[in-house]
Amino acid sequence: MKKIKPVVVIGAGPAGMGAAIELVKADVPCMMIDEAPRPGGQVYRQPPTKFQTQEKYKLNSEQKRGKDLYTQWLEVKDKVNLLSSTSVVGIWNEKEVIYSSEGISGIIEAEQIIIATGAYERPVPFPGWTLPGVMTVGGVKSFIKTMFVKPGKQAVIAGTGPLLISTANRLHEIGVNVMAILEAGNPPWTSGAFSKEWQEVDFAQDIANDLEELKGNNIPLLFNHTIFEAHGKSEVTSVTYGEVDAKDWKPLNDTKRTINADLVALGFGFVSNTELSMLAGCRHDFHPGIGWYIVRNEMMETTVPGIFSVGDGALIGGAIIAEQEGRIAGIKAAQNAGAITAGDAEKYFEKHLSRLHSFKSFRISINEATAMRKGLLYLPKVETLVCRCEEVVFSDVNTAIKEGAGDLQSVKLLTRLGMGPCQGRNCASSMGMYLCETLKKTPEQIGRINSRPPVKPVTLGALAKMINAEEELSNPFDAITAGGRI
Amino acid sequence: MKNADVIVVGGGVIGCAVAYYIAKKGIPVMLVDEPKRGRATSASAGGLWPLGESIGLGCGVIFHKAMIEKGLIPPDSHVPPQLPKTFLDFAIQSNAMFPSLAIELRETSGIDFEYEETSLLFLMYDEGDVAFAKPLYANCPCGRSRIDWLTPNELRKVEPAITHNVLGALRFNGDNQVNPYALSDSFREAARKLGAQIITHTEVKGIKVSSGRITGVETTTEFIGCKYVVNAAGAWAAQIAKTAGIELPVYPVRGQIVGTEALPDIISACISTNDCYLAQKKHGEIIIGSTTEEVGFNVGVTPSAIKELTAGAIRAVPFLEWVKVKRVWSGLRPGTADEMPILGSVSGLEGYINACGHFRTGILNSPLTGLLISEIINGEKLSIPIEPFLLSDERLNGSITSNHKVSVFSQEQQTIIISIKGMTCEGCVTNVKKTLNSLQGVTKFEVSLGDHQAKISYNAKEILPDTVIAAIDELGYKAHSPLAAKCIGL
Amino acid sequence: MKDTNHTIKTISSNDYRIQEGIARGTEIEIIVDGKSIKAYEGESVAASILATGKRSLRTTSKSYEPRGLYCAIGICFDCVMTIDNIPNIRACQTFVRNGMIIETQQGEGKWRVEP
Ligand SMILES: Cc1cc2nc3c(=O)[nH]c(=O)nc-3n(C[C@H](O)[C@H](O)[C@H](O)COP(=O)(O)OP(=O)(O)OC[C@H]3O[C@@H](n4cnc5c(N)ncnc54)[C@H](O)[C@@H]3O)c2cc1C
Ligand SMILES: Cc1cc2nc3c(=O)[nH]c(=O)nc-3n(C[C@H](O)[C@H](O)[C@H](O)COP(=O)(O)OP(=O)(O)OC[C@H]3O[C@@H](n4cnc5c(N)ncnc54)[C@H](O)[C@@H]3O)c2cc1C
Ligand code: FES
Repeated sequence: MKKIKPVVVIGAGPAGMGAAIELVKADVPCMMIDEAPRPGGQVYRQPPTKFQTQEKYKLNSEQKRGKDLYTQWLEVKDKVNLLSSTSVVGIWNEKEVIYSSEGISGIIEAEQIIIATGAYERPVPFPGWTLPGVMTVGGVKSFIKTMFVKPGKQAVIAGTGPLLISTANRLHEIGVNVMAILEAGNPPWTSGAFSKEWQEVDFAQDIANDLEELKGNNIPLLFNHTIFEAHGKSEVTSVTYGEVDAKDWKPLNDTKRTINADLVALGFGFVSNTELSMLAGCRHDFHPGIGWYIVRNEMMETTVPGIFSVGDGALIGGAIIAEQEGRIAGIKAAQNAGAITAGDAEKYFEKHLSRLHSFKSFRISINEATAMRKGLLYLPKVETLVCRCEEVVFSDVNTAIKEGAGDLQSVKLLTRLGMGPCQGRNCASSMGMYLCETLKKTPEQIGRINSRPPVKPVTLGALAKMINAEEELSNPFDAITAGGRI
Repeated sequence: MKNADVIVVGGGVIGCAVAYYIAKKGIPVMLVDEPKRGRATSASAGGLWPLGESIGLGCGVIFHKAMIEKGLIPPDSHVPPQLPKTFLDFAIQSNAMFPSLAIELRETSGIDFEYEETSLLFLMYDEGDVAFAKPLYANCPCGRSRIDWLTPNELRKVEPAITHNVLGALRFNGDNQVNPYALSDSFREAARKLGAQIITHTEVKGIKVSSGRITGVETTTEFIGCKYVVNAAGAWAAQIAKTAGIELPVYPVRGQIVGTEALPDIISACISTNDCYLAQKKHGEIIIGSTTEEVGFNVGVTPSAIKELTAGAIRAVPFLEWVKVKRVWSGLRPGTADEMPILGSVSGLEGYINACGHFRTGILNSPLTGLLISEIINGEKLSIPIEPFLLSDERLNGSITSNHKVSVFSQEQQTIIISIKGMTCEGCVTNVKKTLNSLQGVTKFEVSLGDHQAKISYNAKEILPDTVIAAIDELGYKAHSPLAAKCIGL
Repeated sequence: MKDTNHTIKTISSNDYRIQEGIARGTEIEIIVDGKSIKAYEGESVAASILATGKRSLRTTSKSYEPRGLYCAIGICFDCVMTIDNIPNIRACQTFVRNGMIIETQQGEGKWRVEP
C-alpha cells in the first residue's frame, strides 16, 4: 500500500481539533501546526501548564461545551504530530507549507492541507482607538482566561454581538467594574425570546444564561449605542459615547456623553483569517451579507483540490460549527488519501452534515446581525488613524481618493495604508467599505489588500536556515525545539 | 468614440514615463493599463546603477555565480557578462536626468520619488571577487572619480553594519536609487496633470492595423482610434506586438525579492555581492534581490531562492539574522537575449513604436526612454542614437546574446602614470623601457628620469597595472601608482 | 449606564494579577526599562508588564503616540517592544524567561548592528 503523506492541519482550535480527531480515527497521519503554546484555539484557550486554576474558571458554558471535544482530543493527541509555538508563514506553490519557530524554519511539501486559522476582530476606527487600554473583546477574554491578569479597573464594552455579554460577565467576575455594554444594534437574542432556529442551537441557551448573569451583575446593556471617542494621554482615561441611528448605526452627535473608564473592549464582529487560503490561490468571492468568503464545496474543499478551509477562518459561525466543519474536512481528506472508502465516508459525514445544516439559518442570522453597518464610518475624524501600523489618518485616504485612487490597492500605494506588519488586517475591511460607499463601487471593484508571505513574523535568520521537513530529517518533528508538545 | 494621437499600452514605469514626456510636448496621449500579476515596476528594487549593471553587478553577478554552480559556465570565469558601450552611454545619460527630474516631477505631480545619492558598493569576499574587481577598478570606463577601492577599514568606517569578513569593496559613485513605485506614480500623475488620459484596469486586447498603418487599439470594452501605439507592456509586450503581426523577442524573466521590516537608517549605500544585493529604502525597509529565472509567467516564490537570498544578506550584513522579513515576492522583468531594451519604430508598420525589453534596468532607463519616444513621435532630433536599440533582424533571431564580444571596456585604451623610485641614470631608463617592451598588452610608454615616472598606455583586456608595477619592482626599483597600490596591498 | 461620574478606583496592591483560585508556579524576574519586576513562568511579556499597571508598551515612529495591548492574539503588532536587544517583538506572543531584558520601544527601536 502506498505510504500516506501526512495531512497538514493549520490551527489547533475547535476546527483543527475536529479535523485531527477524524484523521487519526481513519489512521491517516496528521501534522498539526499552531502558533500558540497549547491547543484549544481562541475559544478553548488554556492557561500555561504551570498554572493551576480552580474549577470555577473552567466551568463557564463555553468550556463545558468544549469538554467533549477535549476528551476526544486527549484520546488521539499522541498520534498527532503537533508543532506548537510554530507559525505557518506561507503556503507557496499551492501546497508547500512554510513554518517557523524560534529561529528556524521548515518546509513541508503537503498533498492535503486543512486550513483552520480562525478569525480576528473587525476593526472600527474612531478617535482614540489606538490608546493603550483600548482592546478587542476577544483579546480581553483570551487575556484574562489564559493570563489571569486584569487589563484595567473600570471598563466600557462596545460593539455588537453576544460576545460582548460574556466578556462583561468575565470582567465582572474578576473584579473589573463594567460601566456598560454599548450594543450598536438591537439584535434578536436580546429580546429573550429566541426564534425557532435559534432554539435549536445550544448557543441560544448560553446567550440566555449570559443575559441572566448580566442582570445579576447589574451591568447596563444599552441598545443602539456605541462609543464615539476614547480620551487620554498616555492611556485611556475616559470615553465619549452616545446613541446611533437604528438603521445604519450612524452616530447621533447630540446624544453624546462622557464617562470615566481605563479599559475599552471593542467587538464589532469577526473577520476570517484568509491570508493562507489567498496565498494558496483558493478562490474568494464577495457576498453582500457576509463579506468576502472562501468558495468551498459541501465537503469544505476549496477551489484548489486538496486544500480545505474550515471554521471561523472560512466563515464566521463559532466553535460548534467550526468543530463540525473540521470533522467533515478530516473525513474527506481521509477518503482522498484512500484510507477510508467513499461509502464509509458517506456514513461518517452524515451526522456532521445534518448538524451543520441545522445551524444554517442561525449562522445567516448571526452574520447579518453582527455585520458592520455603514453609519459607523462617520466615527473617524480627519485626524483619526485608520491604519494603525503606518499611521495613516482618515484625511490621507480622502486625499488619495481625490487624487484618483479608485481601489484599495491604489490607496495603499498612495498612502502606505495596509503596508505595515499587520498586512492590512486592521484597516482593509473598514476602508474597503468606506471606498465602496464613497466611490459607489462594488467590493469586487474596490478589491482587497493582497496578502503576501510571510503572514506571520519570521526572521531572515530563520528563512536562511530553512530545512525540508521530509528530506533532511527522518523525523521532521525533532526539528522543532520550541514549545512543548502537549 | 474615444481617440487620441498616441496610445501607450502598459502603465509600468516605462509606459508612464513615455506618457509623461509625450504629454509634456502637448501631444494628446492616452495610457491604458491592466495591472497584471508580476508587473515589474512594482516588484523592482529601484536601483539606478548604470555602471554597476553595465559591468554585470546587481542581478548579473548573482546569476553568473548560480550558472557556475550549475556547471553551465566554467568556474574560472570571474567576469559576468558585460554590456556594450552603447548601453552604458544610454544608462549614464538616463541616470544623469534624475536629479532635475526629481524636482520637476515633484512640482508637477506632488509626488516625491525618493531619489537618494547612495553609491553602490561591491563587496569582495574572496580572491575570485578581487580578481573580478581589479580590472573594473583599473579600467573604469567612466573615469577615476566614479570609482573607489575601499580597504576593509575604510569600508567599516562608512558602513559599520557590514561584515568584517571582506577583502575590501569597490564603490561606484553616482550609482544611486529611487523608490520605483513612487517614480512610476509621479510620472503617471504628472502626465495626468499635463493632460494625458489615464485608463486603468483595462486590458488592450489587440492593435488594429489597416494597410500597413496603425488605426487604433481594441480594449476589453471598446475600440480607441489613434495614430501611434507605443508598446510598453513589459513582459507582456510580445503578446501585444503579435496582434499587429510583429514578432518581438521579449520574454518574462522572474526575479524574487525579499523585503525586511522597517529599520532605522542602517546601510547608506546600495550593496552588491555575488549572492544578493541590498538597498535600504527611505521608509526603512531593506530590499534584498534577486534571482534571474525563466519560468514563464509564474509569479510564485520558491523556498530555495528565499533561503539563498536571506543567507546572502546575512553574510553581507550579519545583524540581519535577527531582523524580520516583511514580505517576499517576485516580478517579471521584460527580458531580451542581449539584455538591451527594444526601442523605436519597426519597418513595415507605420505608427507602431516599441518601448520594451528593459530587462534589469527599466527603472534606471525610464526617463531617457520616455524622452526618446516623445522625440520620435514629435519628429525631433534624437537625444541619443537609437540604432543599437532598434528591432533588428539579428536581435529577432536571437543571434546576439548577453555575452557581447564588445564589452564596455574594450574600446578603452587605458593610460596610467607610475612613479619609479631608484632610477639614477639613463641606463636605468633603458632597463625599464626594455622590460616594458617585453610586457604583452603595454602598447606605448614614456619613461622620464627627471620626473621619476613612466606614462604607460596598455590594453586593459591583456594586462593590469599591478603586473606592470611588479615587473619594474623586479628590476630593483620601487614602482608605485595610487591607482594600483590598493590592489597590490591585498 | 452606571453613574457616569464614577471615578476609577485605585487598586491598592500594585498588582493586577487575579489572586483568588489560582496558583502560578515558578516566580522569576525580568528587567523592564532597567527595573527588575516579578513574573511567572508561562506568562506573556504583556501579562507580566500589565500586572504592574503599566499599559503603554511603545511609542510609534511617526507621531510618537503611546500604544499597548490591543488584539492580544498576535495580529495587530501594536504591543511590540525591544526584547533582549531586538526591536519589534510582540509582547503578547512572547513568553517571559528569567533575566529577560525588555524595553519600552521608541519608534523603530535601536538595533545593535555591528558585527
Ligand atoms: C481573540 C478571540 C477570542 C474569542 N473568544 C471567544 C470566546 O470566548 N467564546 C466564543 O464563543 N468565541 C470566541 N471567539 C470566536 C472564535 O473564533 C470561535 O468561537 C472559535 O474559536 C472558532 O474556532 P476555529 O477553530 O475556527 O478558530 P480558532 O479557535 O481561532 O483557532 C485557530 C487557531 O489557528 C491558529 N493559527 C492561526 N493562524 C495561524 C498560523 N498562520 N500559523 C499557525 N497557527 C495559526 C491560532 O493560534 C488558533 O489557535 C473568539 C475569537 C477571537 C478572535
Ligand atoms: C526583482 C526585480 C528587481 C529589479 N530591480 C531593478 C533595479 O534595481 N533597477 C532597475 O532599473 N530596474 C530593476 N528591475 C527591472 C525593472 O523593474 C523593469 O525593467 C521595469 O519595471 C520595466 O517596466 P515596464 O513598464 O516595461 O514593465 P512593467 O512594470 O511590467 O509594466 C508593464 C505594464 O503593462 C501592463 N500590461 C501588460 N499587458 C497589458 C495589456 N494587454 N493591456 C494593458 N496593460 C497591459 C502590465 O500589467 C503592467 O502594468 C527589476 C526587476 C525585478 C523583477
Ligand atoms: S496585542 Fe496585537 S499583536 Fe500583541
